[in-house]
Amino acid sequence: MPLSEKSRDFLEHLRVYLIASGKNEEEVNSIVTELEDHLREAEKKGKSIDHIVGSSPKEYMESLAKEMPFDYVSAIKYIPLVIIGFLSFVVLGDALRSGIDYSWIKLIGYPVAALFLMAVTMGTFKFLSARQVKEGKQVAVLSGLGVFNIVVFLFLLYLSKNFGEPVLVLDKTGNLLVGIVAAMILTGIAVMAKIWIPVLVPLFFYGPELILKLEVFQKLHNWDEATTTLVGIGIGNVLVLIYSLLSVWMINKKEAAHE
Amino acid sequence: MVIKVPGGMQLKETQISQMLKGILEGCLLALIAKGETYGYEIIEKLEHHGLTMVKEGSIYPLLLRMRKGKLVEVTEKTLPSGGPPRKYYRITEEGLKELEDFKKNWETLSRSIENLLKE
Repeated sequence: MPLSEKSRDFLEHLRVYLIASGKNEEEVNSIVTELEDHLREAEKKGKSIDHIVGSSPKEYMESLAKEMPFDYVSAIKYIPLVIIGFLSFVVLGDALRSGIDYSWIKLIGYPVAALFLMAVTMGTFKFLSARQVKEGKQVAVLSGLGVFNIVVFLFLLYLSKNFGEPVLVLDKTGNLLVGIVAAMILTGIAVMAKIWIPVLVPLFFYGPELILKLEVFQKLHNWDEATTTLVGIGIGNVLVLIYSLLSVWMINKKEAAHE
Repeated sequence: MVIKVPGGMQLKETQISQMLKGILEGCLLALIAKGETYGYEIIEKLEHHGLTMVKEGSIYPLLLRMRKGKLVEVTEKTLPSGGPPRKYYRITEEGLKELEDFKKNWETLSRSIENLLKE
């Protein structure tokens, strides 16, 4: 007998909540599997999930999280990887556009922004999963998060433009080299982690912009540099959203076939 | 604990679950000491002993804690019906010691309270 949708949703939210709380992935899988086993047995006997989890899923998730240690080993492994990946993504964009001319504000601001945005993202996932937010609302909140990311960067660019003297300026060869290194790092992370995102996200965000800048299209739309970049990023956001929805849809389909 | 519906029944349940919080771990130790068992079976055994008021999910945070404290150990067994392996809990030496302490403390406590309530 397949698990009820409510139970499956709860287990998925629990998984996200615990991972976003920095718990060890193996331990998370272990407790989720154990609860899945319990829910299966309980549902066979006609009990509902409320009987097992109680009136507050959030409180229940917290009570489990409290007994699981924070996974420092994975954090030390993954946080630098995410930060380096994120910085490679940003640097690649700059190298492809007007070239790298970094002020101190950018040199310090990029890593700080990366850490800050990573914390905000994990917090958002914890919030969404603990409150069992419905899918439609989740898309809205995550789109908001995407916009917030862009706002943080625009703020940084604004600060740098008005208050920052460039201290690191690269010429054409320098930009080419840095761009190649950044692309290699992103590919390396994708291969190591066996995920497509580190390659797809730069393609989604910078691909449309590069195409728009081709002379054929430049003649058609006649936009200036900043407008082209903004339109490119806009298209990138839409592509990321479509990709996320497609992934969710495919996972659901796979699960349905598995049941 | 949040009391959603005001009323005697709800309140009573809350009182029981408050009381249970401190002693459920001892109950789980006692059950696991009787023989290797797994999550859902623990609930059935608790119910069999009349402890039907236990929120089923509440045993898992306790089991995690007991495992961390090395009071119980876990072996995973694959089921003949397939699916992911099931976790079986077994008591350790340390768990048995803890259970002895729990029994002594419970005896003292229950005798004293009974005494108090009789007067």
